[in-house]
Amino acid sequence: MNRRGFLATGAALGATVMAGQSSALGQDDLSLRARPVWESWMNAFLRPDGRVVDTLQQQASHSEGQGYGMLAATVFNDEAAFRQMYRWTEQQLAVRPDALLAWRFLPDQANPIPDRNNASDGDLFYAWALVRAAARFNDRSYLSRAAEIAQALAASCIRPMPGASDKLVFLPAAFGFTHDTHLSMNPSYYMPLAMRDVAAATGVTALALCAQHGEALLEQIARDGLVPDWVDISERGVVASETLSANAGYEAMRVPLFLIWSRLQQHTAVRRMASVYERSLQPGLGAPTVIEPVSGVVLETSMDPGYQAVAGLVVCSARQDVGALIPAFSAEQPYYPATLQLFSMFAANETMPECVPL
Amino acid sequence: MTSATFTRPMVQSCWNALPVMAAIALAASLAAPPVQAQGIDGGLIMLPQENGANLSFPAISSDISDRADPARRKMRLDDDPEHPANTSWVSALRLTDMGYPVQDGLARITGEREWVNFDLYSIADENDALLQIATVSGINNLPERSQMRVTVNGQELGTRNLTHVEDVGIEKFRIPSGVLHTGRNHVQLELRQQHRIFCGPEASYDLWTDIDLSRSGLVVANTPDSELDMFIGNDGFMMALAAQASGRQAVEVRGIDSLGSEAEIWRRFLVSRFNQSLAGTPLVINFTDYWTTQRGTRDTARVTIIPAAESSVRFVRGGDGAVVMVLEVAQGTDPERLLAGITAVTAQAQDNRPTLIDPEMDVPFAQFGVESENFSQRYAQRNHAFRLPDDWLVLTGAKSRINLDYAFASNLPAGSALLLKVNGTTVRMLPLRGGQSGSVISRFPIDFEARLMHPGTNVLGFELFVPGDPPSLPCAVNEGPVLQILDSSTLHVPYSPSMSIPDMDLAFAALSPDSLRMNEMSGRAYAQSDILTLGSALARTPAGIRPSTLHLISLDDLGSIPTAHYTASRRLLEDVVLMPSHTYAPAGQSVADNPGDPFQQRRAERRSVSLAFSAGWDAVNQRARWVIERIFPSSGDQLNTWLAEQRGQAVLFQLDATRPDEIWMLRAPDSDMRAIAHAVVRARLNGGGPRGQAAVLTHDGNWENWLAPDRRPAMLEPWSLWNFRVAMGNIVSARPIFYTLMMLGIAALSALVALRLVISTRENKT
Repeated sequence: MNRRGFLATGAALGATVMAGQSSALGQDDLSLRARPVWESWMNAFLRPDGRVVDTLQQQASHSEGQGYGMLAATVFNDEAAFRQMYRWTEQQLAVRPDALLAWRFLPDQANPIPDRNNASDGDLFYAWALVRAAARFNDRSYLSRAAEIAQALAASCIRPMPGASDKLVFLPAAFGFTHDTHLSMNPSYYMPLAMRDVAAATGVTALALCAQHGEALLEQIARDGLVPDWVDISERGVVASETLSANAGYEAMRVPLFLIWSRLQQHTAVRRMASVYERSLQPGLGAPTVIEPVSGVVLETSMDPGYQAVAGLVVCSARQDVGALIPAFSAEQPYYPATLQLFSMFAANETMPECVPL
Repeated sequence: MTSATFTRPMVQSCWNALPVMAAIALAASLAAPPVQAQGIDGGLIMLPQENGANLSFPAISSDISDRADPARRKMRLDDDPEHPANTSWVSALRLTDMGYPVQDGLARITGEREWVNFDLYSIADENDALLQIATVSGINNLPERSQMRVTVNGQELGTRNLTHVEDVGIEKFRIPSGVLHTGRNHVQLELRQQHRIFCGPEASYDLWTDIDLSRSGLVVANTPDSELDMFIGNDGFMMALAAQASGRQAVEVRGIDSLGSEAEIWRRFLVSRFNQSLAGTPLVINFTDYWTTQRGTRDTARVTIIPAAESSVRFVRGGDGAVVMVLEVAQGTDPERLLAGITAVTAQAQDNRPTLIDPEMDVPFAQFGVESENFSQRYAQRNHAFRLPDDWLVLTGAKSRINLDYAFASNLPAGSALLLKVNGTTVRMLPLRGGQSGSVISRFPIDFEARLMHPGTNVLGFELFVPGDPPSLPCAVNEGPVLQILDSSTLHVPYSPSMSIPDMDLAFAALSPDSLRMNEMSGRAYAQSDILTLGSALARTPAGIRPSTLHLISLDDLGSIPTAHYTASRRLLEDVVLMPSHTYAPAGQSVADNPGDPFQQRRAERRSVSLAFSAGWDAVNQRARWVIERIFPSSGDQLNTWLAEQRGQAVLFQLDATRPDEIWMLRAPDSDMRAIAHAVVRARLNGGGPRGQAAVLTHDGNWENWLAPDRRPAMLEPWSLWNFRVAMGNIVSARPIFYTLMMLGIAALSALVALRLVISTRENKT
């Protein structure tokens, strides 16, 4: 059955087709139907004090993880968990002079925050979670904090693209990625839907513009192959990073996921990744995690269901299938794939409800 | 990190012309206007804790290597030996003979020589296949002389010694190409077990081997191979389903709630259909949402339902590697029609009820499934179920007859015997010694009281005893057959008028998944999964006799059980399911336990005297009570007396004779519904199930029944000269003492009247 046939059913599942941020119906539904998934994720990665733990990386916490967790809490309508994570984040990571968050917290160290640099994707998701929480939990106070972050992001991490001054680029952090000859940019930090939502809620329009330019930039990169983890942007153009990971790896796998979530299912970056997944995906045996961007040769695979979930959603989305090769959620996997699996569920539920796990 | 870096103004790296770009952004405008208020008043900004990040140390690092390290997200599980990337799975054997006890996925095979039959699902191809059998044997087994012989579709694969004694071990057998065919195959294990020390019936009874059903079957290599696609289909799904249903795993059905008001129809259909298509222990089906969490082990098979404009069935490999039957269901689709073309999930014939035999004719054993068998064991037990008409009833002393064709070896040791049993009661012991040994004895007549049988399912049993010779040494090797029972033997059941007597047996046989009834309190004792499990068990055998009902009752709701004129003590009822099993200490154990006490023996003897007196008094009391109960059988004390002796995992009631199609079920709070479901399936296929007015499923899986002594037969056909004698015999035989005393009373009354008449007519009327 094709997608049109699915949409024509008008059955109960069809009610979730229009789900999205603006449709509480779908989210409410998911918050009940998939509650065990959320509880499993919390049991594995959320400490009682509100710290989201990346079990694979020295039990560290990141602004990214806090933002991700808080966003998930809004989807599952879990205000208590949201407030816990918010409180911990404000107490431990909001240590910068500006409104942004330190990117990493290392527990059991004399100085748990040795680097006060931020991570713009963590800040973005943190602000997005606050924006959604304001509506979800009917608490406008979250909006003011989101606005501060949005303004700080615009001030610190958005700048003109080298060689195209009428376009904006989203820097990975306020510091460290601007070089004399080029900028280092992480394409997976672009989350167009989050940028637009935050811009709409806070009035920081630079974020929306950045999202628009980012989509075009990703389109440009994807014309030559898979979107890599890192790219260098200079006056001469955009090339794969010479110093950082130039493969389509653990960072870049978020690019098609975020594009689908942003209702850009037919984006070239999505279709390119889908073609690789279609060719190399082995259900139950491993999903590609690191791919050579030009040749499409799979360099690494993983059994973690979260990576399989991303791949399943990308293929389903690109092919307009009904039913996706998304495995059941497992808290046995590390934090990162587990969280990507949550996001795959959110993206499917909000934008591709026909991509239910088979 | 340097101090220079630390003191560098943060905005240095930022673009100072941002306001210009913001203006551009505004000009570009957003597709959607802001949907949220933009006010920032009332913001909740918490100050860092004093013991939080050390404000004197944090700096901005120029080293981004941590951030950009491509390995920092690297997976872990591939390196974990507990999560191997390439794991094979086993399309498990499905045990088709429900007579063997199964617990925790282990089927126990007891005795010297047994043939165990299984179903095995497969896809035939030109390659050899691999069959593995996982076993563990008891410590009494002599591994050198205990063997397992495997045949598939009649072709022998090989023989292995049963060497795994302490832990489950796996034996592998190569199946040559051409032996397996696509679909259902027949696998038979012949187990020969020998005691390492003794020989004889007791030694034979101590021999056992457990077969791990979840790890026994066809090995399917789960490799990244295009051959995997061959399993994506009808037959591959059944292979995977067999694997999924093995052990204690449930089969997941996703998305049934998406069908809205039709979900319940589909739920019932799928439970019934999958249980009728797959032999063996009942399938437990777990209905879930699409978004689920992974259970302990990865699924091998699953069903996913998706609402669609047009209905169809397809098979895919799921994201976790499971073979998934995808049911795309349009509104108003008939489940039966949608699955009509899927041959794998059609109902199997072997799950039909036992054969119905007709009274008043000699029915050959072969007609109701008893095959000729040669016995070479020292102990063997065989039970064969058959059915009598639902309106057949004999309570009189009328006889049934077995004409047995059998032969036994000469020179068997003294004490060798064959017991014939009907519904567990021994009707004849045939000594296996004498002049006719060595030749077939034809039509040896064995008469027994027909009232041992009842309407519905009955069990004809054989029990063979051949003492060891000598019993204190292991049995000799390669012993020949000691007994042969031929399928030409016959069973004759006498005539019965169409009658019935209150008994839950018929209602139990007619239960189906639709029979389950819950009230608002049932949820306290039965989870949804329990109800599905029970429904699965009831779906195994096509009911279709007449509608019957099983009320699921919680302990808090005992008052809803109709008890008619019987009295069932609430406390005793609770004890049945709440108290642990009775344990009895062997006689004289206290003496042996304390050998150092010189006075213990004397105390025990003195106590024995008083105990003997007490026991005698109890016996007299009991006898008197028995007589009274026979005269006044309506006394509810009998039920309570019986209940006081029972302990079990579930109790069934049918005390109200006016509601013959309804049964009430009470379960122990800690009982395992899978064990109850298994016992239900066994009873419905093999007999020996619940009967009478109350039945307890004991902890070892057997049914203990209470038959009310005041049950009254009812005539279902018109009275006639032809049926009067037999029917009246049944009525009187149901309560013989009552009717005898009643007749005596009438006779005495008549005598008194006559006497009074005589006296009155001879009185001197002056």
